This record gives sequence, structure tokens and C-alpha cells, in this order.
Amino acid sequence: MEDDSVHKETLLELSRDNLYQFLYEIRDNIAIYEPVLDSFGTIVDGRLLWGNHSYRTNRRNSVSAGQLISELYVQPEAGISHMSVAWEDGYSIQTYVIGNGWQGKYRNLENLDGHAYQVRWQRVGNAVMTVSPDLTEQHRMQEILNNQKSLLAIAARKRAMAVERERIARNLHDTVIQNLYATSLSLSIAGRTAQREVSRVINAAIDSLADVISEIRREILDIEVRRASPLRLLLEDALIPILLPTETQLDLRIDAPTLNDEYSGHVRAVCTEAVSNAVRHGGASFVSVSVVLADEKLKVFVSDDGSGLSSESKPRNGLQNMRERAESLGGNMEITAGKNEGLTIEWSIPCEGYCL
Amino acid sequence: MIRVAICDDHVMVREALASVIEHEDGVHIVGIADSLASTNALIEIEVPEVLVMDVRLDGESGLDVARSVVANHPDVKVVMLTSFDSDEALVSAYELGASAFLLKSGSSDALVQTIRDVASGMRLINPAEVRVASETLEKRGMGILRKLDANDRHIARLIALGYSDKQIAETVYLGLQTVRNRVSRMLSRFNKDNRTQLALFFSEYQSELAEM
Repeated sequence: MEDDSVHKETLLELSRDNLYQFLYEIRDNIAIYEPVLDSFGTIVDGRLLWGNHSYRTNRRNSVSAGQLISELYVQPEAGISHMSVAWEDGYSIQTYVIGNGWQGKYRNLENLDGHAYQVRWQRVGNAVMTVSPDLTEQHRMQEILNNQKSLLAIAARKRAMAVERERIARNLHDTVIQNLYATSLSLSIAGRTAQREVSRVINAAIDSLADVISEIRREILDIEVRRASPLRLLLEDALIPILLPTETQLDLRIDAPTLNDEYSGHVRAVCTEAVSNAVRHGGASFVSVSVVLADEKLKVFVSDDGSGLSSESKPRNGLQNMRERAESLGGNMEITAGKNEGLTIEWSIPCEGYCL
Repeated sequence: MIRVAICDDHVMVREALASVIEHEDGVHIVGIADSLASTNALIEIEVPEVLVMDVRLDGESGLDVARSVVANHPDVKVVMLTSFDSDEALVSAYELGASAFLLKSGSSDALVQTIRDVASGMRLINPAEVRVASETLEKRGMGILRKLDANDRHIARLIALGYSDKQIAETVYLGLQTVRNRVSRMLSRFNKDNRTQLALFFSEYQSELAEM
């Protein structure tokens, strides 16, 4: 109840001027029309009374009171019919598909052809108001969506490739290496019974088979090392959304086995904190994250090329949280920062069997 | 004559191994097997001096086969063949008491020489190499997996393949309740809430488990 009265007071203090200012400056497009009636009282058109700043700047032609919907609109009949519904029922929602005719009448429509666009018609006393979303905002949202789609597509493709590489590695191991080994054994029998000249050729063939086998073996080991670990997937899922609205590049290296939920949760929290720090405060264009398990220590290195710590004198909250997390797990954290040299964080905790 | 038995699940390999050994003087093949069951039967009947076998077998671990052979027939010398010189396989081969650990590669002479050496009582696995490999494994956090006993490791491999408790009991010849007890012990040991988590965890270590 107390909260309610606080809100009421705040609302009452908002003056008419403030309210007008708010409607005028809001980034959504707002226009107010007065219905034009025929002799039977049917709405046949709408006359513009007022448009806010966004509405005025988005329209290509000059805006003035008294302009008619029939002159302004790409599809005037649709507009007038929605206006009639709003007049009768209080409101009506109109959905457009942005098309060719729109470019001549409105700005900020680049690359939005074919996109849905919604206008709300709202009766306000003796007038009808239209509210439609800010087109530049819609544009930006679309870019983020496209960017996200392509990043997700890349991640999905990478995962599919990792699965396929593993299948190939298994096949190389289970079939190809075995067949080559058997072939080379059979050749060695032939080499022993053959004449000297032939035997030399056969031995050379056996040697090159051995080379092929070790080449394949190296290839398989390489694939096994690079196979997508659950930890990598977890971190990609956590870090990609942070980087999506930015241009920051991420280099993620994992050289650690699968950790249990608790410990992979710690690693995710630390990486998320460090990467969002780098992006938000440091303005980094490149962040490198590596997670390494060695000598019974789990280490997370995060370094970036951002502004380091120079912009603020005291350590940030997030960094403090990371340090406390490390200390509570019996580890520590070191920060290296120089003016315009970016920030390097080394977060380290003891890690043994209980972390897996 | 050194009496040699072969166990490999790959038909081309076991036949080529047999021909190579048959062509040598002083060694001959007493039998060829492709699984735990056929190896055990072969050893009971033929009592070879040397068993040459692959680390990985189809659906079974060659190391488990070797373990059972060494435990039941200490006189049989085991030569482990591997497609990879993995740390897991080397340490396990040494611990189970195998006499040699040999990479599947081109040289049949090295293989035959190894058979002769182990038959004469030599042990060809270098303990220093084993120590290095074992330290590497500990550092990689594999220690806890290695502490599982052979039955648990077998169960772990089957869990990773998605077997139910009942299927596992039928495969490892243990009672259903025993399997359930072992699974729930592993759940708490690896700090997992349910069987699915355990299966995901083990499937991540499938190739390591296959070489333990």
C-alpha cells in the first residue's frame, strides 16, 4: 500500500508540460488524428492534429497539421478502417509488411523490406492516436538478430564438425590403421621369401606404410585433443551472448577435463565476469580466455586489449567477487594492468579428483 | 619352440600376425582368439607361453582380458599391442603385469624379437617411462578414474554406452543388486546427482576408460 501511494504522488507531480515533453521526445512514432466524417457519420478519413519528434523526422515530406490520411499513407484504406475500429472499440492493431512504397515516404527503412511492422491505433477522447515503434531501434534489433543467428550457426557448424571429426578419427583407428598394419605385416612375410631386389622394394614399402600409420596416428591424436569438451560448450553458451552486441573477438582455449557442475559453475562465473568487464569497462576489441588444468591447479587466464584499470582508481566489484571466489576455494587471483595495455587476470584454484 | 597365442578383434590383423609368426623359426601359433571368452578357452586348452593381444577389443577392454590371463595363468607372458602409445594404456599394461607394450607399426622383426625376449623371461616395459606417464595422468586428473576396480571400470564403460542396470548385470555376470550398489557408489564418488550425469561424464572419458 505504501508503495502505491509513493507512485501516485510521483504521477501527480508530473506536470502537463512534462507529459507533453515525454510524448514529444519518446523514440516511438506518435501521431494524433481527428476523424473526418461524411454526412451519415461514417469515418472516411483522418486529419493530422499533431506528431511527435520521431514521427516528424521519420516522414520524408514536411509534416503539418491538417494533412489527411488519404494523402499521407501508403495504404490509406487500411489506415482509415483501423481508425474506425479504434473509434468504435477503443483500439485496433494494424500490422504492415514494409515494402517498396515505404521508402519514398519514410526514412530509416534500409534493409527492412519484408519486415513486419505494427501500429497501434488508440482512441483518445475525440481523436485517435497512432503509436508505432522506432524504426532505427527496429533496425538495430534486426542487426543483433542477424548477428546472433550467424554466430549460432557458426557454433552449430563447429559442433557438427567436431562430431564428424570424431567419427572419422574412430574410423581411422578401428579400420584404417588396422588394415595398414596387417598389410605391412603381410608384406614383411613376402619380403623375407623374395629375391634381394624385390625384397628391397618391399622393405621400402613397409617403411613408407609405417610413416603413413604414424602420420594417421598424429592426426587422430590431434582430433582427440581438439574435440569439443562440455566445458567449451558451456563457456561458449555463456560468453557468446555477452559478445553479441559488440565487435569484440574472443579466443577460447580449453585444456582441462570435464569438471563437475560445481566447478564448471565457478569457471563459468569467473569467465563471464572477466569477459563482461573487458567488454563493458575496458572497451576491449579482443579477449582471450584460457582454462588450463595442470599440476593439480585449475587456472583461468583472461587477457584483453582494453583500457586496463586506468579509468578507475579502486578495484571493481566484479574483480573483487572473482578474487573472493578464488580465495574461498583455497586459491588466489592476480591482476596485471597497465595504462592502455589491457588487463590480464590469472585466477587459480587447487583442483583434484573431487572437481571432476 | 615358443608357443604363441593371438587375440585381436580385427580379422586382417590377427591373420597377418599369425602368418608373420608362423614364418619364423622357433616360434609357432597355437591358437587365435578375438574375445575374452575365446582367449580364456584357448589358454586353458593350449597353455601358450606368450599371448600377443590388442589393447582395445570390440566391446571389451583388451586390458581386462590381459588382467584375467595374468591373474589366472602367471606363466603366460603377455605382449600388449596398441594403435596408440597412450599413457593410460602404458600404465595399465605395466600395472597388470604385461611383459611388453608394443606399438602397432611396420616392423614385424621387432615384434618377433619381442616374443623371443619375453619368452626368455625379460620384461620390456621401462618403469621410468611408466612413472612419467603415470604422473601425467595424475596431473590430468585421471587418478580418480584409475582408482576404480576392474568391475567398476567395465560398468563405467557400459554406462557410457547407455546400458541399463539390467543389461549391465547380464553383461558383466553380476547380480542386479550388486550392479545397482556399484552404480550408486560411483554416483557419490563422482559427485553426480543421477545416472544421466554419470553416463555423460563417463562418455567423455570413453577412450581413456577403454585403455585402463
